[in-house]
Amino acid sequence: MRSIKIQFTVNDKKYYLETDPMRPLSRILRDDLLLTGTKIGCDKGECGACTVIFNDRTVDSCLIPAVHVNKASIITIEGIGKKNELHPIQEAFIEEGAIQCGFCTPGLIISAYDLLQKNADPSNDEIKDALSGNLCRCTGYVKIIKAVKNGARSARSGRRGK
Amino acid sequence: MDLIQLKTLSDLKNLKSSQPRQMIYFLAGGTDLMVQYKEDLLQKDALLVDISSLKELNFIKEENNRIRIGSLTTFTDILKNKVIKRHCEALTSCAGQIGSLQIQNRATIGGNIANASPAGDSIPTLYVYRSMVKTNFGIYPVEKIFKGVKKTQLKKNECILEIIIPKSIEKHRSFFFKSGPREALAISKASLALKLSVEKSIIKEINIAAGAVGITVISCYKTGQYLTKKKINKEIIENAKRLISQEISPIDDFRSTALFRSNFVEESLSKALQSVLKKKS
Ligand SMILES: Cc1cc2nc3c(=O)[nH]c(=O)nc-3n(C[C@H](O)[C@H](O)[C@H](O)COP(=O)(O)OP(=O)(O)OC[C@H]3O[C@@H](n4cnc5c(N)ncnc54)[C@H](O)[C@@H]3O)c2cc1C
Repeated sequence: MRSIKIQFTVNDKKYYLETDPMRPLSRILRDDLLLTGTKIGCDKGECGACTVIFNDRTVDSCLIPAVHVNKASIITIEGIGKKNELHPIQEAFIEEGAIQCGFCTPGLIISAYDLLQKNADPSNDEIKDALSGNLCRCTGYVKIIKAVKNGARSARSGRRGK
Repeated sequence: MDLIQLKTLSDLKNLKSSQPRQMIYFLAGGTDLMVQYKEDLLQKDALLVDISSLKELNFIKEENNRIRIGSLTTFTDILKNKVIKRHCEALTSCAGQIGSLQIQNRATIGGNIANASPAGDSIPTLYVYRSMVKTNFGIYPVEKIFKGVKKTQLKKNECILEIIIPKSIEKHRSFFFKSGPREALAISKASLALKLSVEKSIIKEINIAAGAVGITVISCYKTGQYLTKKKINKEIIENAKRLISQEISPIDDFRSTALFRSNFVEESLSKALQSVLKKKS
């Protein structure tokens, strides 16, 4: 396929790329931009490991072709929290032990972060709904839901990372 | 394979002559196409036509006697829309049950129709609203679009532009039920949509359609006809359940069994009829 030129921002940084129009965003992030925090699980939109925020909405980046990435604004897990100042959601995941193998964690944190942007004080049901597109195959969801609840509470009380 | 991007709707006209033999795939949200592309299911020499930047196709408009939904409208936008919620509650309910939030954020209603899966969740609801589909070639009742599993009557360069839902004059309720292996990220094993208006427990009008129980979505006209002008009670519901199970043609496959599908459709019909009854009394 004839390649196309695209420009887009990831975590506030501008990128220009010449690429195959059907190349999935997940590959662009990991292999071209070396932002390997975004994971690729099922590679067909079923597991949510590759979730990123794309023009203010969560998407499975494995299903976004490069042609749709042109002019887009993207937030990946690397754009959430800083090295020495994690986002409250990230801290809560660690404190609650809501991580085992960690493969689903970036996607889950992105979905949880997106939820908190829209709803600062979500109920358990709202959390379950917001995370239902992200599968975890080891920890189970109890700790994850608790982590999001706690993370939301500390975000409200002012421990705001980015 | 090649890809072109349409910048405006009028670019569609030129699509006709320039590519005589090639297979064309319109690229909307890409949630079906990307999977098919990765699995090598698309024809090798096809032309991909990206329509995603046609802003003219992304809208929900309320008019006097109808609601128009642009084909590029995502299920997230449908789910959030107040006009849809007021007039088409089954469509709202269906939008919220498609895939996951991530999928709803990208999946378009036009793509759901054109993909022509008998398990395409928006299709039964569009049937019961007696919706019309407008393309660059004409306007058709939604039922006329489908030929079989993943097969439509659409011509190669025919693009769905919008869906037109006539507004009901009658006060009515509509429902959408879906059974999947889990609540999110589940392709329907069976689904049922219905729209009905009831006065003093008597059904004035009812439209019923079932998904994933045949090669296309099935309109259950006979069951609807039977129920029309009937007073809802236990016996009528039992008879309707028996009738609807004869109208659908479910099969055993890797997702479910014919028996489960049939039971689900019958029970959903019963649930809807009973809930209307409860609301009245
Ligand atoms: C993980 C996952 C879960 C899913 N869950 C569900 C579910 O619960 N329920 C459900 O119904 N579906 C589900 N789907 C299927 C899919 O998301 C929907 O069918 C969606 O609505 C397709 O829309 P799209 O814009 O992504 O289409 P695309 O992938 O862009 O296109 C789909 C097909 O329609 C054609 N097309 C698109 N737009 C037009 C147009 N305007 N005119 C003519 N042809 C057009 C394309 O050429 C292609 O053949 C799921 C998919 C995935 C990957």
